Amino acid sequence: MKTSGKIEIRAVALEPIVHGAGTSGNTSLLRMQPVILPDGSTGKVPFISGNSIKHKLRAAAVQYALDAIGVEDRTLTKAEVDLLFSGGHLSKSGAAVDLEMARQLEELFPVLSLCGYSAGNTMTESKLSVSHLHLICRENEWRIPDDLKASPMLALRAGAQRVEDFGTRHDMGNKTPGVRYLTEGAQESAAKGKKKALAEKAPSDKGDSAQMIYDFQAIAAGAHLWGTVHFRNLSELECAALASAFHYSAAGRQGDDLLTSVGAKNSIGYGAIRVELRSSLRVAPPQFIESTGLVGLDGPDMATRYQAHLRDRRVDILAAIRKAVS
Amino acid sequence: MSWERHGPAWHVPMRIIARMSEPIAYLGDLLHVDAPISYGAFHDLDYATRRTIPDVQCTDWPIDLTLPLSTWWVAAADSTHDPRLEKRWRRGSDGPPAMLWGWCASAADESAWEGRGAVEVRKKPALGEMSRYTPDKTTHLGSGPMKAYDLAVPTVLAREVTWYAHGDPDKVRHLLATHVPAIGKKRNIGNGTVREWVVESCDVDRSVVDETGRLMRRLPTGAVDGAQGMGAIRPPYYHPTRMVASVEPC
Repeated sequence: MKTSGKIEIRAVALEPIVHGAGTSGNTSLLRMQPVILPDGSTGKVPFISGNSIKHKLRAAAVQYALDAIGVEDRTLTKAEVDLLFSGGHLSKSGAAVDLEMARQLEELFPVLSLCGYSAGNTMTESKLSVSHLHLICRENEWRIPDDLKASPMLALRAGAQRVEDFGTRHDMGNKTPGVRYLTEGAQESAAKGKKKALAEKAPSDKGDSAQMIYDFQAIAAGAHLWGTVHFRNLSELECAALASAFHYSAAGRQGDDLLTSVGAKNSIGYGAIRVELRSSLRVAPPQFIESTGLVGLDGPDMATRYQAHLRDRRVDILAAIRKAVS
Repeated sequence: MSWERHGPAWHVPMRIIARMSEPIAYLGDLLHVDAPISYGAFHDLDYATRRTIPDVQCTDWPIDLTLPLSTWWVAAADSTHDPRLEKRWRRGSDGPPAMLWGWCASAADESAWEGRGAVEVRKKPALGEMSRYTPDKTTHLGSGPMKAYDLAVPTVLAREVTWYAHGDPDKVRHLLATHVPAIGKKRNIGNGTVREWVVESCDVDRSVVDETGRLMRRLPTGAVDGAQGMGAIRPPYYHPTRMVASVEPC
């Protein structure tokens, strides 16, 4: 049995979200999408790219599977890691395609067929289609899903939901306690350079100092976002792999919602979001019915069966991955 | 004009409209509507049947799926194309000679483009994971198949995109609405998403040429007068075997 459906994402930014595209001076600019508004004018709205969300799901699903299998450190090749975490690359030419290898990989290691991959001379299409995460704002009102049409956030323009923030980096070669760990020669050199710079130039110019302040634009905390993950023709194990991706990418729970992070600078407190997931299964396309589980089939036993499959077929799985990139 | 149309008597002219919610990643390859219809026809097959069909990217001759569209036929003006592109529209000893053929489906009406942009697609090498899971001492970020990249794909912005076709509107509506959530490139990461497909019959057939004689889709050289080019004439449009010397719509 194959399962098709979608997972609607409703997210709230708990911290500012940094998702950059280019710089102006030393300010990192927010990634923006140009849109045509209903009155014919154009606008730009910030968004989180579907590519980054899909990569997050892929990385989480693969990490879950590797942890379940018990893959030890320093046992894979670079090509295998590239296949698993980045989707791989074409490495052969020729028209004879090893269909059996593709089927074997799908059955043994469903994460790859779920997210799509390239290996040998074969490209396998992803069964996931991940939309951009869009800001609920006035400029996006024309494409807002029905259940969000009453959202009070639609009264706000995108510009009102953008903020600028900054970070600092200190030059520890010129400050305590860092300076005391320098060798005598390095200390002398640093002091000499600083003295020379101060003597020759304006006091604010510290010569080759690595100290800096950097700015970046961000989507404001409290902003609401929406997106969709479509999936189709998933086997039971692929459903389990998709569920594992959502759960493994989450840092925790808040009520029924998942806590996770998107964008950049997650390690310094940015990008935390609370995510509500609403799953529905496609019955008579394009009609959907609500699903109780995350991916329709995931019951209490599904994760257990998936883990058992990964553990029991450990040798076959690793051999199939090695064969795919060889 | 030296092309002819063939199809069942119940086929009618139709207008196809995609109401868009995302920019379309578009490389100027005309966006003929028989491409998404063909994609829909493939996914309308049952799963077991689909698994017997080799991936389009990897086969030297992708099969032509049956679509609910009429076909156009043109006598080949030269022999620079793959001979498998030609066939006879009616079998039998008294049938016509082999001709180039394609589906009666127009390219996208490019007057719909209200703006242009680019979508950046990035690939970060899995350095942390490579460091953990491999015994290698180095990896190269700047070259080779695993290098990092930031690919800017051009996009066009449109509220609605319109095409014309000749065939069975109900089946076309089913295939598009059921199986085609997005058009253009980079669809799996949120680009070219279609909010709604509208398929309605119309009075005039504009699937190949319109009522003023304007070419509405790519045809082989010799079919009509127009700008000469080299391009694919039927799905999958990106496959090299589908290329012929062609006349391009302006």
